[in-house]
Amino acid sequence: MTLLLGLDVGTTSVKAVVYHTDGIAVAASSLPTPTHVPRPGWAFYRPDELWETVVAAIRGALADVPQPEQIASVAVASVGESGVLLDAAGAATTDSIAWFDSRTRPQAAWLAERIGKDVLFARSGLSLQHIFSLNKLLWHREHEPAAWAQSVRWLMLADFIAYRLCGETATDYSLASRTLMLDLHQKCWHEETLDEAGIDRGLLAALVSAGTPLERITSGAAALTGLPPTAVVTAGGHDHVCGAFAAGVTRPGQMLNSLGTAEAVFLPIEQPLVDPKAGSQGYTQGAHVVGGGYYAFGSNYTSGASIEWLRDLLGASDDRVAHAELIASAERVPAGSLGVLFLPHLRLANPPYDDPRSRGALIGLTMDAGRDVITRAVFEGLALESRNTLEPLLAYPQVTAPRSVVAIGGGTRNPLLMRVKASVSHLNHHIVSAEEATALGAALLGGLGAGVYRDADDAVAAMRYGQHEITPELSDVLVYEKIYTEVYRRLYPSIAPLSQAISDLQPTAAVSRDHE
Amino acid sequence: MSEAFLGIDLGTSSVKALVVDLDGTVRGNGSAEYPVLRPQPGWAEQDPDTWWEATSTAVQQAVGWSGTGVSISGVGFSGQMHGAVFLGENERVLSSAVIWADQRSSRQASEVTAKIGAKRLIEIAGSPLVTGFMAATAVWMREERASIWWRTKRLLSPKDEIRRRMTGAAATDPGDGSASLLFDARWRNWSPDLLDAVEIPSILLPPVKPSSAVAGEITPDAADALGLPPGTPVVTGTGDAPSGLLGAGIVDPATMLLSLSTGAQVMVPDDGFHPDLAGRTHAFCSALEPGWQRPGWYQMGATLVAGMAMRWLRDEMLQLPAAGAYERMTGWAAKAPLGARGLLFLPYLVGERSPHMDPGARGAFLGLAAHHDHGDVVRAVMEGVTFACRDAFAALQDAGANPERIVMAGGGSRSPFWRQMVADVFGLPVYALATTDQAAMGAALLATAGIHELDPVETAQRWARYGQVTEPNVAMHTRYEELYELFRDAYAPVIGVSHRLGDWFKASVRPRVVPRPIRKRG
Repeated sequence: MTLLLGLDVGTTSVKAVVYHTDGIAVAASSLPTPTHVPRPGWAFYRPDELWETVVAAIRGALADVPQPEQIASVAVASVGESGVLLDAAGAATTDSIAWFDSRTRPQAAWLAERIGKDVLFARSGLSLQHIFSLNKLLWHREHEPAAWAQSVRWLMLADFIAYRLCGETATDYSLASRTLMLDLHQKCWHEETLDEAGIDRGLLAALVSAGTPLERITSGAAALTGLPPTAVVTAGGHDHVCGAFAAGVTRPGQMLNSLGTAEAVFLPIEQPLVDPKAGSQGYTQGAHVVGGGYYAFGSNYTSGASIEWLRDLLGASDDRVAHAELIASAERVPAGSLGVLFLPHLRLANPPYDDPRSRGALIGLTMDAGRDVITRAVFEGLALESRNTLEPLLAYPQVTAPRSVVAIGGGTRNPLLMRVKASVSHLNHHIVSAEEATALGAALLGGLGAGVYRDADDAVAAMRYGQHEITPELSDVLVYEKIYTEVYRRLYPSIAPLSQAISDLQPTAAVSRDHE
Repeated sequence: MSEAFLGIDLGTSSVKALVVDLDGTVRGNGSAEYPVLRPQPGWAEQDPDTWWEATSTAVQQAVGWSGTGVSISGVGFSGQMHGAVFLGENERVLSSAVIWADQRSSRQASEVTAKIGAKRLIEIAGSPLVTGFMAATAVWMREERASIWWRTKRLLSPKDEIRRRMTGAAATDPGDGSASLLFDARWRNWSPDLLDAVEIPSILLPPVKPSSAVAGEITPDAADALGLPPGTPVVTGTGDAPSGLLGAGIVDPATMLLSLSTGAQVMVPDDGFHPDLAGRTHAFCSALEPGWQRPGWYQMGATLVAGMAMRWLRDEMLQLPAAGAYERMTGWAAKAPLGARGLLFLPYLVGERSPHMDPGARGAFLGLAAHHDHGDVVRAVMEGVTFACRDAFAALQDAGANPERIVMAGGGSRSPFWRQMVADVFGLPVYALATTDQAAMGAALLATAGIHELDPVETAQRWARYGQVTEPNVAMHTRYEELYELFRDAYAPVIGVSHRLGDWFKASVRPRVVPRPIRKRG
């Protein structure tokens, strides 16, 4: 029997999951991501500490695997943007700046000045933000000249872990998409961007497709982790893109909706979006891990967070029974929540609105608006907001309207939320209950590299994870259509100036969309 | 045996009875509750029989408390205003009373207003016509329930119905009469012009008597039911708003009453009749017959939602056990900073009167952020309610009111935290009324003054008692003024969306929406 190991280096945890080739997990281990916060707005990882955490997670998972020698491959998915500078001996020369760290705003301002936002969008497909890797490189160069002088290679976090496992360096297109240095159209490092920013091409690793086999595990890494020296390490990729692959969302016409603390709308596309407006609306894009195409992406930053906030407020946060009762009571409220409407901008606006000062709202309240009504209104607000994020994307010629939605993540365990989403979007929702979709996507990329699967379609077809379909309820579709077109679309524009004024009265630190 | 007077206040959720002696000391009190019936969304009705039974219970309790050493020399009345009781042949009740909170008559209210002319209506009656006012309810009855209307022989406001049952004689007073909006507030009597315009025969309406005039005596039947001696004189009394002013000792234009209970009212006595032609507030007749230093009118701004919002938060949203809930909630709120970390609450859960006169308004939380917790939410609700009062007050200021101090009454006045918030929001010193039930107090006062021919102004000043004064904090006031500006700006954009939601909801109401009774005050 063949087993696959997928690693997921995420914002909050590092996960190691061992899968059968049919996608069923046989062992897993998870450890908190060791993150250091020296001051507000700053955060970093210590590369060696991160590596040790990955090793511990692998050992934790392997403890439950009777025959670890059956593991054929290893691949790593990670957060984007963050990376590690290595010296000629392969040792880290400095700390790794966390992807969401905000110290690099001056570097972003410099790039805007030096190269220009629209030019950068045309090249990289990204709307300039300070989080992208190039800003981090510039920061190290400016503030840590000694470490910079020692550095010969930049690796993204997933690449760094793969390098420690097998001794080969490479960067896949999905992670390269988060650097600002990739020519998204030609899929090569953008020479002009590198020249203008003064970055040596030799600092960057070779670009490969995710799933490309790199090398077998080194004997040292095998001894440390307990992995068999026969296992092949392959190039992994950007975490949510790996998750999309695991859920089978690889082609235009499909859509992934991943429901965590934040929520993502992910649409495979053939060619990148070229209108910079998409960037200014808050959408992002990048290379897919399989199929050679791209994806367009929009976030709802406080999706699961809205439900957690509501649970806290209603005193049902740590109580599963109370939470289930809350959902059951919300089921009895008719669609439309008696005219109560929720705008889920609990930290900032979502695409297509670029407004870090926007705030949430709960409006249309009456004496009949009990917790059941408010709970349903929150679910409906999340579904309406998703639709509001999706629809403007469909206006771009590169985007194919989805025929159905694949949903993954914790939110899919909320049956009412899923039914509301199906009816609001008027799209069937295909719920995939893959265990740790991101780690699974990495494991499948490993399987591709090790020749376990013929190709990406073969890998997806092999999956035996739980799946079921939620269909729209026709009477509710009509109700939501009216609410969306006649009320919801007007909600944010109506109250935005007010939310901004409220936000301005607050002394709290500014929030921005990159704190995803 | 010492002499005392009985004041009865027929409220929205309960009736209160006070036995008060000649010094204004309460010797006994009683109360009994009754439900608001909501047979359809937006409707609000009560059964006059439940009023009567509750009144009998409350009176017997109060008299029982006061002991055998006290004899009742007279009875005075106060009560919820605006509502309508429909009596037929032999003074039989034809239907449930439609009370002030009812919203069924919005079409009738706008049609009547259009027919008379909005400005002219206000010039005569002192207020715009809104749903739940007797004039609108009566037209609704004629149009929608003709069988009841054509059998109607008498239209009474709620407390007048209870007095009728007590004395056998129908009457009203200028204060309650003007709240019907069929009244000429200038001349303190039914308006022939308005009655003509709405086609209501004047014969349906009771005669008008001064508030402290004796309206009748307790009949033997009523005496049995109430446990009072037959023949006890009963004075006309007045509506709960003007009665509350008297009971709170507010008899001059320099003092404003802020009554914070289910709804809130801001009221200032007025030496003349100065209606707000923009229609944001009410100018009605007071319980005083006009004279030198005897303000015969008062200005009132009413917000529909005050304590109601706290109750909604407690019962519907947070679902806290009622015992000690408000103390817990204000405890949380006191820990949140001014402005509730950027959370703003519009309290229009059942529409709004002053200053917006908008039955379609709905409540809202704005500025919601992930960091908002219980304390922020409760504080935002209290601030929102207080801003709504401030908003009503702003309209009174436009009509010329310029008070120097606030007397605060109602449940909200018992919270030192809320009193400080009121002082800071308004920038005026706040005197907490020591008397609870100032409307019942006013009713007893009218009985006392009427029967002993005392000056009600002097009696009111002598009776009223206040707790410690709460001075405003200037720095807080400045910051609240900033927030208040946001609150005022919020109404227009939010209400646009709210109206759309309301319209959508009305169009989509299906029979499965089960009407819920309004819960009683806990």
